[in-house]
Amino acid sequence: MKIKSGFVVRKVGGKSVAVAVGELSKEFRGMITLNDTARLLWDRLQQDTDEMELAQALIEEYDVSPAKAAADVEEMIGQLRAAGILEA
Amino acid sequence: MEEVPVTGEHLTEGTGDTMLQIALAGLTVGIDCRYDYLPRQCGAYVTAGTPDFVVRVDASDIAREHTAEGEATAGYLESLAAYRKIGRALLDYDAMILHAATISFDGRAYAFTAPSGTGKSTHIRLWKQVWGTRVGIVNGDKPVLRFLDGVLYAFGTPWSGKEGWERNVRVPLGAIVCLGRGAENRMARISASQAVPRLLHQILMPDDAAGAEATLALCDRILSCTPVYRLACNMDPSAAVLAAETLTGAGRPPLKE
Repeated sequence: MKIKSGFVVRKVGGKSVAVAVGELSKEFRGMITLNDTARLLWDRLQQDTDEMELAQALIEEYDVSPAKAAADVEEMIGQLRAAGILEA
Repeated sequence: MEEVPVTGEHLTEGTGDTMLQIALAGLTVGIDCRYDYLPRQCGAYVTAGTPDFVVRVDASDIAREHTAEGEATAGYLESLAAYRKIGRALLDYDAMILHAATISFDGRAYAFTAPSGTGKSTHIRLWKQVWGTRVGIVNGDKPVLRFLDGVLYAFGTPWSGKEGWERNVRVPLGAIVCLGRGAENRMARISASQAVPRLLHQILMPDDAAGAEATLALCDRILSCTPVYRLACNMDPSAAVLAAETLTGAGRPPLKE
């Protein structure tokens, strides 16, 4: 799975903000703010990946427990799926 | 050309028969327009010389504004569409449009931003009532913010909302105030990250990648040098007293994350 292409992401005021552009902007209005964990997962999801790899990335970056990493990934993926932002 | 109320399907391709040229935010802007709304709206801003850039509005641009605005004249929609295009071009000049009622007070501009219907104009009226001629209008609805030599200015524009509050002036921006309604008047400085969602909802986000990047970069720059406050207020004149005292330092609270 990966994030649909067509988002611009940039730090604004210390916060990561994602905005849909081009064709995708007709589908997604408004903007998405991402905390540091969400931003890391967002960046990883620019390429095709899976829950295991994402959890591993969190463990390496933040030294969190495997259980916590898996829970964070599950929550983020659930939100992205609900918003229709993920493909495959 | 005569103005008539339209629905989207009645729009036709125009001839682009008027070249309007206005002074805006220190730039000379050409607007290729068809209806007489824009020339009347921008009369006090007309200028000569070579334009820094020219915007052209076509029928599809006008139709796009129509979906967002409900019933309106074609001339009004052309004005909205032109301003959207101007806003996109302004990004190349470290400038952008902010949806905010903006006043000057003791030499600084204060931009009160909030969704339409929150009470920005009502709050500005309280400032006038309490502070009289110390308060000057910059723009009642959509001023331009522009960096010039590292200083962020608020510029008056002809796009000034239904009150028509506008002056063709530039004033260094002192602060942005995110306005909301409250039973009691409360004001506090907020951090840049707290300000991000509030600010980003009161700007026009371009739908092209370069434009969106530039807009986010400019917002980041604005937030790095501009204090932002949250003001919850009622319609009592004491709201304007609290706001002025907080903004000008008398009771300026420390920044709390």
